[in-house]
Amino acid sequence: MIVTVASGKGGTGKTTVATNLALVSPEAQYIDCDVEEPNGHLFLKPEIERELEVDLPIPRIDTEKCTACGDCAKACEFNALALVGKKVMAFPDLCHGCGACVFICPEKAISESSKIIGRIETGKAPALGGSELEFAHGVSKIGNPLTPPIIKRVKKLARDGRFVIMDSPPGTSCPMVQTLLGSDYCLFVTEPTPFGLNDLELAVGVARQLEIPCGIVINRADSGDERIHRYCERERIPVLLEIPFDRDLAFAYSKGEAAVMMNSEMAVKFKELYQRIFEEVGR
Amino acid sequence: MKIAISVTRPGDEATLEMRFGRCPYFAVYDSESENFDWYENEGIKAASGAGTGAAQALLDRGVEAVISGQFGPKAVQVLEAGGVKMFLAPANLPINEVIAKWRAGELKEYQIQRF
Repeated sequence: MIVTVASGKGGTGKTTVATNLALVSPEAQYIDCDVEEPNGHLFLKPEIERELEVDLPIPRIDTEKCTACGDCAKACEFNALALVGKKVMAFPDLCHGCGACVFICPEKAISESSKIIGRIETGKAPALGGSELEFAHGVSKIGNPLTPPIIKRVKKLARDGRFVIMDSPPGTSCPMVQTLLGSDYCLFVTEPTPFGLNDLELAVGVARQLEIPCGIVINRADSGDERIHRYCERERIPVLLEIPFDRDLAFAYSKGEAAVMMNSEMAVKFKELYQRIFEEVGR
Repeated sequence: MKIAISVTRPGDEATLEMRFGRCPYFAVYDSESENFDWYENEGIKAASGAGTGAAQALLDRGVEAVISGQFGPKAVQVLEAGGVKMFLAPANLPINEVIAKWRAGELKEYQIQRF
């Protein structure tokens, strides 16, 4: 089973929820898809066993064969190729590696070379009660503007029979959609503020388009107001967990300590969350 | 000679739009006939590469000079390779004044920055 933890708004507690859930769930595999700034490892403290590079195919043009017909530039959805006079210019920064130019070129003048855009690290981390969880994250290279290929690659590490938790990037753009695709369930972490609700509504819209059932975790639930509850009632979205603001938890967080490892009450809450997710998916 | 100007809207009310790649419209002015053609900028809808897309479209239309408020680095590469001259004009300047300034040689040519 694959559960994505997403939010819409940044800073609501995605990683807090995803890591704590991973620590209490049996057979858990945690995959950090927030490849621009992965931070799950700060709390899970995995031992990295394997590292591999992620590359992206980019076009290489054989100027001997190229007749400057311009078909490749027209085919490129991302404007990564331009026909200037008798020469095709390539902009690797804009390339999404779709391969349309290679396919369309009548002269077979375009081949694919590759560019390293990031890396993936995998390993194991200690979980609650002395067990172990599987860990993986993607890390985008600094300056790389295109993260979905790294997310796609790190998601492939999800193993059958595991309770897979994908930690999503914030927002509702391509990286978040790429993370959520193929999930059995989506857990949205939000906060009871106008910003929290605004971005939650956008994120729920994405889950609904992808036809993925979702539930809500309200973080800092005792701050703000009742707007999230009213929204969830109206939209018939279950609230699976509410986490009140707690100074001790915030302090532990600042030191990279997971809530369930230091607070038994939180461990119970997250075990209940695990159960609730199973019930919801079984519906 | 054809000169493209990034503008906010088509027609007499057009004013200069600061952004090259993501301007809503291009005015293409023919300096001999003194006529304008108006094109919607397809680049504005692009998920990426608005600048290279807009530059490509202008090259395809045989434009030899462009006037805008600012040019992105990739658009500059395409325009430069295509031999298109780039000029800068202030935002919101009415289209007729843009042309008048260009004719008078009062517009500053864009300086390509190399790193």
